[in-house]
Amino acid sequence: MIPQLVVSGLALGSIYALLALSLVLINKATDVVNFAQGEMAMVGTFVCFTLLARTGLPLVIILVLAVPIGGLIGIVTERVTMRPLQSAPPINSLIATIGLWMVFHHGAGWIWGYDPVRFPSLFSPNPVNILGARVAENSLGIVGVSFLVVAVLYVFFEYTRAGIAMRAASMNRRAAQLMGVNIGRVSLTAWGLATAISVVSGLLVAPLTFLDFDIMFAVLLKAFAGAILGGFNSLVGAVVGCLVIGVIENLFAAYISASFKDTFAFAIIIAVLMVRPQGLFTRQIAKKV
Amino acid sequence: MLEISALSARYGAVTALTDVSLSVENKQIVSLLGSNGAGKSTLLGCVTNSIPATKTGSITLDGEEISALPTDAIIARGLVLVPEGRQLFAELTVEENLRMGAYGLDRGRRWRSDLERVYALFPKLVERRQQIAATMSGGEQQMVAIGRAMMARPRIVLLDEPSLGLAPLLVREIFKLIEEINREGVTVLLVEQNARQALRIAHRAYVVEKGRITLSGSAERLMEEHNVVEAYLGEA
Repeated sequence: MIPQLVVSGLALGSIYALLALSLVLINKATDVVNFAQGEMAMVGTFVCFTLLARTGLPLVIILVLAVPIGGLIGIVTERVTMRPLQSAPPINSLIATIGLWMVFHHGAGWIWGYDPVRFPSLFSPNPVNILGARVAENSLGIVGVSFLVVAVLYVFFEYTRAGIAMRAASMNRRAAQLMGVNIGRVSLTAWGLATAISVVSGLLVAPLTFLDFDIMFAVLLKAFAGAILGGFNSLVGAVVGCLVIGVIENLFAAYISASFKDTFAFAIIIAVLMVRPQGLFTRQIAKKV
Repeated sequence: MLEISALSARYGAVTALTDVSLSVENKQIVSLLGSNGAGKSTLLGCVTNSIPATKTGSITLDGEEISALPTDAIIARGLVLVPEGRQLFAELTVEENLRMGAYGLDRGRRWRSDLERVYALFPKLVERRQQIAATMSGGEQQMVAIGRAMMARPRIVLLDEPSLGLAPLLVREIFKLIEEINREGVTVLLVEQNARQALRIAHRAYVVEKGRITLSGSAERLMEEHNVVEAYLGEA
């Protein structure tokens, strides 16, 4: 029982991890916490759903198309709502993302209706044997897709010009600007990339439940808990934090209480912020004056 | 080479610079002296268009107006700022920091030969190439900051208080490096509170007080000027 719970917990956790990566990515690049990230993922997932229903393309193609679809949603949102606030205090942008949350949330209900729809899964729920433990193929598939996304992201940040520029800008925006990094483009890239990743997380979670306009709320909550556990400024920390959250959530639901499994994410957020606000995995780097 | 005329700048309602005119000739070292808050950094921020100040007036580089250009376009024209307080990428290594300096240049592999040139200029950095920038001493960080600027193949470098917070021995070393860079044909605009050292290596100098240029002339003349000695050399 425990190995299954751990593996399906890792699968859940890796879905949270993708959304958490989106949150941390935008926050590192632009100092904005994008509360609308879950809703943007939901809208992207609905666009994919419509595309699937209209064209009948194979699901794996839809999964690939989710990247440009999400990227476009992110880029347009950045240009229309964040760019005009560029020189305003960050709190303005943060409140704007709460507004975006409502716009996307109710906009989706208005366009696609309020009833849940079934979303087909890429992977079968049949169990496979791994090292003597029977785990669902589904869980392995989710972990695999997430791992692929993380690997691509790693290569982007370590080896590409745009990726290195983004890392530099997140460490010292003014210095990056003085090196010729275009800060506007960094923000645009961050929103595009983050939203693309978040739509992938939407596509992974939709087959597990049903697709409706509320689908990402619990995921966003868990992603926040995982990201905060990881210190909210480390991409690696966010992934590890979310995997921990996914596994604990599953064990908690199985052995303690299934109805309180969402509350516990809040408990983790509060506990981490009280006891160790820099996160469990981040060294506290003293700010040089 | 760099010509600033009638530049005024303000942050909201606060005036930072009033009617500043200043020129830096090709291959010279020009020092801009002034105490804290005189407007020196604002001036450099205006030239590189990297601060959110409202400005009027004209800034030309080789006769071409650059005051409306974005920062990356100004850097591409060969004008690079070494900001106050080094502003390194704290979690990157020395070499990654240097490499970032070449960001605005071509996307090719030319940065490798530029890197060798910078290491030749700062031999001390060679053994530190894999060290994380934040763990270095102030003097070493300043070398990385200047080296990073050199990676952009500048024709003119703007240095903002390179001696700030450094021990006297290191200050002398940094100033020697600035002279060396200048000998290689790079024009220098040096902003300093350390007036004595800055005047010693400069060809010409300006004194800025409360956002206005109050004194200018050859470095020798300013060195002899009673006011400058009294106002600035005392604290150095």
